[in-house]
Amino acid sequence: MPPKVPPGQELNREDDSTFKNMMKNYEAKQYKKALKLVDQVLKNNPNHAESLAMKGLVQSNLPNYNKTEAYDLVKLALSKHLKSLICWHVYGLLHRSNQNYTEAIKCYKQALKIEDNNVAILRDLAMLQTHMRDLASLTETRQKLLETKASSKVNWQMFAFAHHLQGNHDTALAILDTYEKIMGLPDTKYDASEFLLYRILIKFESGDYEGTLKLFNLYRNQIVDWDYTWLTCAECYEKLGMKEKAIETYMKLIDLNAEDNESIDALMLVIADPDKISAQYKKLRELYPKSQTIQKMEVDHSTGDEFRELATAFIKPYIVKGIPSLGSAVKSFYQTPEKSEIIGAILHGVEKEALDKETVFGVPTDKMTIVWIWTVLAHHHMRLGAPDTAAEYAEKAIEHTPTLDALYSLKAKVLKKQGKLEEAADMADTARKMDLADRFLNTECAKYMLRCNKFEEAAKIFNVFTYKPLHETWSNILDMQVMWYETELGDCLYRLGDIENSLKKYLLIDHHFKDINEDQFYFHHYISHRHNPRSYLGLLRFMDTAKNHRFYCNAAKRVVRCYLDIHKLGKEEVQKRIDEGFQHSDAEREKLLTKEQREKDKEFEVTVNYDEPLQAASKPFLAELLKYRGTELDTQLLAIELHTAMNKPVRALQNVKQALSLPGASSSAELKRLTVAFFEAVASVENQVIGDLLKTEKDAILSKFTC
Amino acid sequence: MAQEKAEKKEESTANGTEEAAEVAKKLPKNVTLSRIEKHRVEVLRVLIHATIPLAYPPRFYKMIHTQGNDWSWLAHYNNALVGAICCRFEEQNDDRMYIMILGVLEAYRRIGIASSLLRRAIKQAVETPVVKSIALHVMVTNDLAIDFYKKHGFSAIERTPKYYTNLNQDAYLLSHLTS
Repeated sequence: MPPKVPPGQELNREDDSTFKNMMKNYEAKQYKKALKLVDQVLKNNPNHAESLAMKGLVQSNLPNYNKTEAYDLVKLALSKHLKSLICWHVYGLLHRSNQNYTEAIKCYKQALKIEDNNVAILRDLAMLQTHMRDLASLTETRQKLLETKASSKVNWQMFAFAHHLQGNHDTALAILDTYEKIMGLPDTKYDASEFLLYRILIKFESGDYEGTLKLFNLYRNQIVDWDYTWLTCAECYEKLGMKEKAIETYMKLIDLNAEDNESIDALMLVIADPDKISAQYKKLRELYPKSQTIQKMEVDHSTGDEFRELATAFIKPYIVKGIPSLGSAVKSFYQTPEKSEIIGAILHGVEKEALDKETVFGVPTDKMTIVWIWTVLAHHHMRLGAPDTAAEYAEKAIEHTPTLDALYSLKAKVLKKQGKLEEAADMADTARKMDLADRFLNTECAKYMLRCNKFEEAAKIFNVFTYKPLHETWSNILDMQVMWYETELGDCLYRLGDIENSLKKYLLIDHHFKDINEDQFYFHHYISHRHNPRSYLGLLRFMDTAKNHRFYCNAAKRVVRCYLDIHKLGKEEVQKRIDEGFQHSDAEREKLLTKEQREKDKEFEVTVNYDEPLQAASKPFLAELLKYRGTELDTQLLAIELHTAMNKPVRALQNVKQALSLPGASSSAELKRLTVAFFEAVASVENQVIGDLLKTEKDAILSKFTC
Repeated sequence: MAQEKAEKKEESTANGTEEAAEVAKKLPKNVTLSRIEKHRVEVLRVLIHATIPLAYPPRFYKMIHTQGNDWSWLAHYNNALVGAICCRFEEQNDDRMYIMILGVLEAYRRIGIASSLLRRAIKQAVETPVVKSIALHVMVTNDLAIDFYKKHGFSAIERTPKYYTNLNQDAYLLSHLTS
């Protein structure tokens, strides 16, 4: 029951209808009209709180709005009518549009105190709580929504969903059961299948594998997604130890798609025994002779003479047909020195036959065959760490057929491996010029330019495909979230000694990931109406671990490195090292932008934290790295260095131990150096307990090194 | 064999549409002909640089572009450019089609690519009424080239002393009537 309206807040009939009209316009996104109408009401009723609040909200949807002004209006409104539902709702919406989600939630909760079953507010609140992953509160909100409107299917589904997210599998299932009894299954076959599969998913995640299998059987005539079905059944069989059934099911999946490497991997994991695996691969190859994946995986698995035989069979069609991508296709065959030698023998043998007899594997060569043989030999020698030999092959190929851009790309790569970065960039440019419509050659060239620090040249080249003027290229890169370019540019600036600007580039990647996270917000409302909770679940879980992506982790490592440098050198020194050339060209670029473009670019502004560089590096960057790349030596090295600098000896010690447990770590000179530095830094630690702990650990740890 | 070829040639000069089928039939294995593409002029430059001992300035390539694609053809072997013929129409020289360049990469010679390119050019000349002949200059000492063009129905109609000034060589003007 809404409370009594305070004095001065009532509108006469005319103004009331204007207000209602204004609300309609707002909902129809007619903001200019809404603004006019609300000003009308305010002219007669300058203290009408709800109009003041709505004015602020409407303004926030118009371009060039003043954020402070909008907030001031809303706060003023609340001061006049503290118990207004609309005012609190508006305040919440304003916070939401500025991404202050915690504040927004507080406002919505206030609104709910006034009217605890307002559906609009509850729905918005649910969206926010999902976005913030406040699952317990979300469940409460969903329950309230359901109690308010039990006839809405969505409310039932989302209530179950909330419980599922929290891990209350049985509750979620019970809710869905009740829902089905009351509402029946969805109308279309696909929706019904999704509903049932969602139930099965919850059952599976609850750990009841037998129950899951029973449900699959029960619903088998209504399910349409067999890919998911077989996959989950196979996992159930595995967990229940029903090996044969698991194998049978994976074979069904492979029958659906003979290139499904995940299913093939899973199948071989179940079989476990290497000889039996070889036999299974043979069987698969016979069943699905056209499957490249199966053939490749079989070669990967084999060793010795079997490997020689299978690798030869794999390579043969590439050579006979003259397929350029053989160099990449055989990448995985270099797992061991033994295998690398075998491949080398095969390839050199092929070359000899082609040159001596003009045949390959007994098949007559055509005029171009030798070019691709030399290409794969170049790749081969690069992989063996012999780029000079690779260069010879690349040269031979180019002399033979100088009109193939792929050969110049190859030469560029070889030059890069030889460390001749400027020549490599020139060669990449030669390749690019040979097909100006090829975007891959273009961006490869831009990358090579950045690698030899030619950032202006790189921008010019990258610009060709943006179809915008040169000075807008950087804005385009920001807008399109071209993270590889930003990272490479950062690396370039770091090499030039400019820590501040390089750090700013790396921080952009973090900014983009924030934006990507924000983008999911409107899905919370949209997806709940689409009857595919499994997709929604996938989205939420993906966003939860999005930072696992290599773009983020690569940038994070660099951010930590930069902040460590800042800590060591101090702000003044770092700013002295700013690259004048870059700064100048950047300033020139900005001059040419319009006011609007500059405003847009401001959205991507990042700040370097000079006051607390180590804290800034630690959270979130090192934290995320330890979460996703904790088993990489690089990560642990950064962690040791950072925790030593932050004076956190226990943490650093932990990192040292974790690092030493990684393969190859005990021969790492860098690890030893950091460990010694760590022990030196904590030699005079105040805390007696820690001091003693370190003393006991020191000798044991240092003795583990083999370098 | 030579007589058959000569007979075939007489037939095709009489009927242009048959020539197209003939040209297609006689293309060597793995070879396709095409026009010049604007975004791949650099590849053509590389080809010419690799096959012809004379340097051509940038405006030469610009002209190739702007002539429209009517007078130049490219030969590809498995998608790699291996040969090209570039001609221009010379009103000032008695309405002749003048062959500026005909070159094939060394590794791809002796399989009939140059012949295919030349036949294609001749066909175009024959089918264009205003073109009275197709012609080119060769060094008098270039027996290989002279034999090649003679096989395709060209004959020497003029000798210019010291035409190749840098090399101090005379040139023959080889010509093939087309109307």
